[in-house]
Amino acid sequence: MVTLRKKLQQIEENWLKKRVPASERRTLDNRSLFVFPNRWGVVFGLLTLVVLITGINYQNAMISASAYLLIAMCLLHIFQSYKNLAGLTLEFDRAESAFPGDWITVILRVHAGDRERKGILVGWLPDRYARFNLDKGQSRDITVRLPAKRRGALEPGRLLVATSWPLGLVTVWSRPDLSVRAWVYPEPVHAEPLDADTQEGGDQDQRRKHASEGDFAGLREYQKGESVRRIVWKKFAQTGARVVRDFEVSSAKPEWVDASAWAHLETERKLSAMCEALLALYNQHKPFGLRIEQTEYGPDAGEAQLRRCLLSLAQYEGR
Amino acid sequence: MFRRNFTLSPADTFPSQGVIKLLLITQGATLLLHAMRVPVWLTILCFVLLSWRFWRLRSGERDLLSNGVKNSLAVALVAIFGVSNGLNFTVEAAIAFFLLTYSLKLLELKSYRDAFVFAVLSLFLIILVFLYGQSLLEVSLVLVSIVLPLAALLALQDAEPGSAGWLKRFSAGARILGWAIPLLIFIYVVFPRVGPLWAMPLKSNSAFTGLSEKMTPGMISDLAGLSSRAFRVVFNGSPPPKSELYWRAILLDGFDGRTWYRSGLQSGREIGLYRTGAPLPPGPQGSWDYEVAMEPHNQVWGFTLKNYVMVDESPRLSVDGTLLFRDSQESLTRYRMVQGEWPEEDPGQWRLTRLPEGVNPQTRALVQELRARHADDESYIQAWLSLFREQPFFYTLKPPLLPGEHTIDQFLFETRQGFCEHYAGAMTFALRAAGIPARVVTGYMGGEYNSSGNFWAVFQYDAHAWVEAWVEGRGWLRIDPTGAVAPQRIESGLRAALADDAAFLENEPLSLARLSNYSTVAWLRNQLEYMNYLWHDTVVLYDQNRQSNLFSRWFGENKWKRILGLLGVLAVGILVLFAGALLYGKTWRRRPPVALRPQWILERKLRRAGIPVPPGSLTPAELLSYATPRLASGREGLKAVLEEYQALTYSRSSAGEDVSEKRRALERRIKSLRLKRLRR
Repeated sequence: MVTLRKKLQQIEENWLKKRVPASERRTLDNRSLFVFPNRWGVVFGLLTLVVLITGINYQNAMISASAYLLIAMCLLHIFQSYKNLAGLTLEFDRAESAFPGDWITVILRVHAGDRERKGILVGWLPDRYARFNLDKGQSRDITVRLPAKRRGALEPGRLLVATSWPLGLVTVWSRPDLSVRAWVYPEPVHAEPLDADTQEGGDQDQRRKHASEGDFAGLREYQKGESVRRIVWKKFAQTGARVVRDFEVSSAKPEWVDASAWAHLETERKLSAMCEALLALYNQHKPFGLRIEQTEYGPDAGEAQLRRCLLSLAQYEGR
Repeated sequence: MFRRNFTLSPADTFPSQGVIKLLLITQGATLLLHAMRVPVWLTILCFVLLSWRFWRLRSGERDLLSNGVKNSLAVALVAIFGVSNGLNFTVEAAIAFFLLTYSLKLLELKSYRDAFVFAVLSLFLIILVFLYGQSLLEVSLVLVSIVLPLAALLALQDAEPGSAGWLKRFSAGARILGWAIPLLIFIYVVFPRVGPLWAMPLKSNSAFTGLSEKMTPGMISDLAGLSSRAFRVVFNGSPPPKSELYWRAILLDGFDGRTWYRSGLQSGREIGLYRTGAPLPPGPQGSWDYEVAMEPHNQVWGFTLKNYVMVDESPRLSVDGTLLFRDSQESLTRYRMVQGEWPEEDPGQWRLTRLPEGVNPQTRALVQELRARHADDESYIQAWLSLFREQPFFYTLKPPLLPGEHTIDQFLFETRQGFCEHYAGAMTFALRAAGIPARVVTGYMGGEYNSSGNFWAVFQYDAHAWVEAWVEGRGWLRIDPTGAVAPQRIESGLRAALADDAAFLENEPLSLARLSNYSTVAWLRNQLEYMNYLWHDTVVLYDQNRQSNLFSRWFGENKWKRILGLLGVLAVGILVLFAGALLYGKTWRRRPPVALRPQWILERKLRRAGIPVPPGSLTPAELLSYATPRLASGREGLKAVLEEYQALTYSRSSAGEDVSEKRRALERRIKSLRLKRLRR
């Protein structure tokens, strides 16, 4: 049974690959849209049959007519649902990276095109999706959050776009492949480097101290793009204002996080340790750099540098 | 892919306040539609449940009842219903039960699934209103209220349920309905009509009104309180005068001292005695004198004037002149009658002079006295009619009750106030006591002519009872003692005869029939009656025959052949189109991906120049080596564009570079290439 199902899934997957090839932007059309009554539609159909038989058996013309009305509404439902999706354009805009256990935010841009859209679902089964309406001509960013699990690429696969508007009896859906891909950073886990002497400074204790204290320089307003970890939540709870601790960037000598310092660990643990080290340096507001195999990132300080380094860890494919 | 069955809203999502309010409105409307036919306590109870839910909603509570409370409440209510209803399996009882369980659903309405099921149930309960009637009133009620569950379903699908107001929700529901109506009309016209598939066990108890197969004093005057229609008649040609419109329904030939009954008719089905004779033969095909459209009355008989025979197989006319259907008529029925003499059957065998012994001694004495003076049957009858005319007898809807054993004595010598059944019963008794075979006939008398539609409408208050007596040499004579007491009843109808009687339609104070003395109201009533007539005649009674006739008119005599032919042509046409789409559709659909389009354009250009490039499998280098030796001119241009194309497609483009702009430029260059085939 299981293998048969797998096989069927494979066949469907291959068929879809040909019929709806991957692209980062797709306008839904008759090639990529599928229509089928859902289970409520089947229930509704059975009830319609009951009405029809009641009409026939009681020779009641108006009850029969009501059954025809229900049939007519179901038929029109197919077209209305189809038109509700056809012409809708979807684009994969970006996906924000996250640590394992956090949520990855996938941002999809949808364009309504020349008609109003109602009750459209976009996302991934079973429960990661967003529902929205669109006005005629409206474009909008839709956010879908996916759980970040393991370090590396997160590829949720084909997207599901579906609607049951207007009456919820027929579902029209499409499974475009927008090549959605997100990166999951390594889990920051502290591990002692192989030989502290090979590292600059070697002041393990000093580093710890700085990590906890930092060169605190006051509070300032939160800016978009900054790590939410720096928000002073206590302040937020009191006043509702998002403020972050501002630190003076220390002009100290840049420190390097080198992969070879953890060469004794297996890849994932090594990356985790490097991640932890990067975060610690970042929290000290020192310029830092990442050296992994022959590639160097930085040295530099700040959020952007941290993100670049973490991304390279997430994308690391070597051993 | 079909096996993936997903719901667009997770089944456990709590529906929005707006949706629940819409559902509550829908439920209220549904309850009101059925309020007249189900027990009052049930309607009130359901409204209590509704109010409770509404209050719960207002206070923002999401938690409803605990499972234990909910279940015991449901069981208790269903049990109360079962006890009060008993083993009464009627349509009304079924609907009442349906309404109760439907309203109980409110107690646990808290998910998408519940809301959906509730809306769909409302939809079906609203449709069931048609079990009570199919006139324009019911149609408009249903059309208006069906918008509500549709609006609820739409709101349920809306991703932003709070975004639209009531008006928008209702107009969205109405739009869905409006779009479906043209399609509905098409299906209604073409959907094949079939007879009942099996007998329906449910009978209605109160949905049908009309004559019954017994007559006790007071039964027909009860009908005079009803303004509902019994049947409509269209005359083909000029109708008989109104005072001759005696619509016969049943003959009552048995008398037990109080009640006149039909001795041969048991349980409304078995015709027994009256089936002994062969039915009268139908009249000549194609001609008819009047057509009756009969409202459902759940009885086997129809209504006919004397000396008319049926046109079609059904209903059958029995030898005594009653029109009988095979089954009880539970829906609108239509039949045609044509003029034809009825044979005057010999009454002897029916023993129509039997009377119970020892009742009404005073009447019997009077009979003997009158019979002594009038040996001739006809003058004896006249003597009784003049007695009614000259003595102080009164025609009234509210006669005093006759509780005693000798009801006819009481009526003739004490109260002297009666409705048609009192006079008809007394007269028949007097005739039988004198040895003249006689029977009571019940039916309707007169009707109202509708000049807009040129038809006659006969109402329940037109119900009437009269007498038929067998006079040697003259056959069956119709005698109407009511006419002797109140001639106006016969000439102008009940409304004129009882203009001042408060009892006329006393339970329908706002009935248009009651207010018809005002001319505008009369006109309005006439118009409504006409519209309903048109509705019934053209839509509700559109049956197998009419459908067949309509198809004949459209497709001629060999309609089935032509319809089949037309369907065949359509099917072949669709197949041809489909095959064509499959064959040629490939070239339409094989639009290359944008990235490969320059080569695709180039290949097309080469083919047009006369070089047969094989489709879709060559690399740019292969294409170059294939085409170059076959070209007379343009070799350099070809090489240049192919190199550029290769560079564009197969090399990594650096970020930010606009590839599509370059590609378009390349496509323009390819289009402007001048290629010439090498001739050998």
